[in-house]
Amino acid sequence: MDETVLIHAALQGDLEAFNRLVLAYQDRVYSQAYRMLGEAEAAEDAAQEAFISAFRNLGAYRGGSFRAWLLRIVTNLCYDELRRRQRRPTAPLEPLAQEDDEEIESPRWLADPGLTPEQEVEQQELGRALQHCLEELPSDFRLVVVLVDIQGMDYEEAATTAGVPLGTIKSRLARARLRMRECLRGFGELLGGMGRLEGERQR
Amino acid sequence: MKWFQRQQIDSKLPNGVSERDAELLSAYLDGQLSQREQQQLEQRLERTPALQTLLAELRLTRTLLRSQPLLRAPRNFTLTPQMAGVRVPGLRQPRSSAFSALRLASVLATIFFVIVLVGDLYASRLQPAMMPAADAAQQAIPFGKGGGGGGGEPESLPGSVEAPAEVQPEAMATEAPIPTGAPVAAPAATQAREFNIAQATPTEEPILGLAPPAPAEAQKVAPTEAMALPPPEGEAVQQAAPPTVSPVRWLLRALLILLGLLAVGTGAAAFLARKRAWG
Repeated sequence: MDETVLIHAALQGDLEAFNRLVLAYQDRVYSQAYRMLGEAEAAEDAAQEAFISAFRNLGAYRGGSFRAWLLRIVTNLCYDELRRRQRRPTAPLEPLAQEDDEEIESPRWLADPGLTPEQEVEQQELGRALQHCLEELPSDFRLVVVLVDIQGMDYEEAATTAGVPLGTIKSRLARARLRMRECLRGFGELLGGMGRLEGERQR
Repeated sequence: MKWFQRQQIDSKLPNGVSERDAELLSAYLDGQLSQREQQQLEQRLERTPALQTLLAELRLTRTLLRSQPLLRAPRNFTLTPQMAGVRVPGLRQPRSSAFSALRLASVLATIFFVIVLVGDLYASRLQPAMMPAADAAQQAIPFGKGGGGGGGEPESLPGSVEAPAEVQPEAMATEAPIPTGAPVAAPAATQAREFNIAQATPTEEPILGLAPPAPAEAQKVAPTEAMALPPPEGEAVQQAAPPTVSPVRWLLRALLILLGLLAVGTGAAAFLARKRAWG
C-alpha cells in the first residue's frame, strides 16, 4: 500500500497501518540508532521509543520525506542518550573483548550470504573497524556520515534530518570522511584487501 | 585486538591541500559540485598529485562506508495498543476490567469506611452530649434540693454532683471495651474527655442557681419542677440510652471492620490483577 495512504490511516488512529510503516522502516531506524550509539540494547530501546513517539506525534508530520522525519526522531533520542552517557559515563563506548560482546558487535545479520568464510570474516572485521571509527567521531560528524554514506541520503534529505543547513552537511561530511580515512589507516591489512577490491572496481 | 586500540584521529591533510579542497573532493565524489566547480577541480587534480592521493583515499573511505548494509532490526518494533496508548476492545480486556473493577471496589469500600468512621465518631460525640443532658436532668434533683437548701448546706452539693459522675465513667468503661479494635480507643477517649466537660458544667450551675436573690421562691419552684419534670425524663433517657445506642454502634463498628477488610482485600486483589496483567 502507498506510504501516504498508510500515514493517513495511521493519523486516523489505525495502528495496523502504522505498524506496516514500522515494518518498512525498522531496519533503517535501528541501523541509525546502532550507528549512533554503538550498542545493540540501547539502539533497540531508541528505535522502539522512536516509533512510539512517531505514532503519538504523527500529527506533527508535515509531508516530505517520511524517512527523514523518522530518522530525525530517532536521532534526537540518540542525542538524548549520548548526553545521558556524558553526564554519567558508566560503560566504555568501545566494544569489550568478551565472547558475549563479540556476538552483539558482529551480529550474524551483518554477514552477506554470498561470501566465502574468509570474506565473511573480513567483512565482519571491516564492519567492526568502521563502527569503531564512527564512534571515535564527534556525534555531529558521525550523524552526517551515517545519514549520507550508510543511509544513502542526499545532502538535502540529510540536512532536513539533521536540522542543519546544506553547507554544514557538506563541510561536516568532508571532515567526517577525512577523520574516518585517518582512523581506518590503523587497519592497514583490512584496507589493503578493500583497496585491491576498490582498485579492481575502478579498472 | 587491533580495532580496540584507540587510533590517533585527526584530519591530517597532505601538503598543499586545504580543508576547502577536501570539502570540494568530498562533494565531488557525491556529484554535488556545480559544473564550473567540477571543471576547476578536475583541472587542479590533473596537475596536483597530493589532491589525487587524497581523492583516492576519500573515495576508498566512502566506498567502505557504503559497503555496509543496513543492520537488520533484531526484533519487530511494531506497536501494541498499550504502547500506542490506544484502547482496543477485546485485547487484554478481561484482565484490565478485573483490575478496574477491583480498584473501583477498593476505592468505594475506602470511601464508605471513611463515611462510617466519621458517622461513628459523630455518634460518639452525640452520645456523651445526650448523657450529660440526662445527668443534668438527674442532677437537677439535688441541685434543686441544694438550691432549696440555699447556702446552708454547701457540703451536700459536691456529694450529690459526684454521685452520678462516678457512675458515668463506669458506664463508659463498660461500654468502651465492647467494640473491638483500635479505632474504638479514640471515641472512648473523647467520651471520657467530654464527660469531664459535662461534669464540669453542672458544678457551675449551682453557682448560678444560688445567684437568684429570692431563695424562698426558688425553694418553692425548684422542688416542684425538680419533682415533676426531671426524674421521669432522666429515667427515660437513662433507660432508653443503653439499649438504643450500643447496638447501633456495635453495628457501625462491625461495618467499619468489614469495610476496612473489604478495602484492603480488594486493593490487594487489584494490585495482583495488575501485576499479572503486566507480568
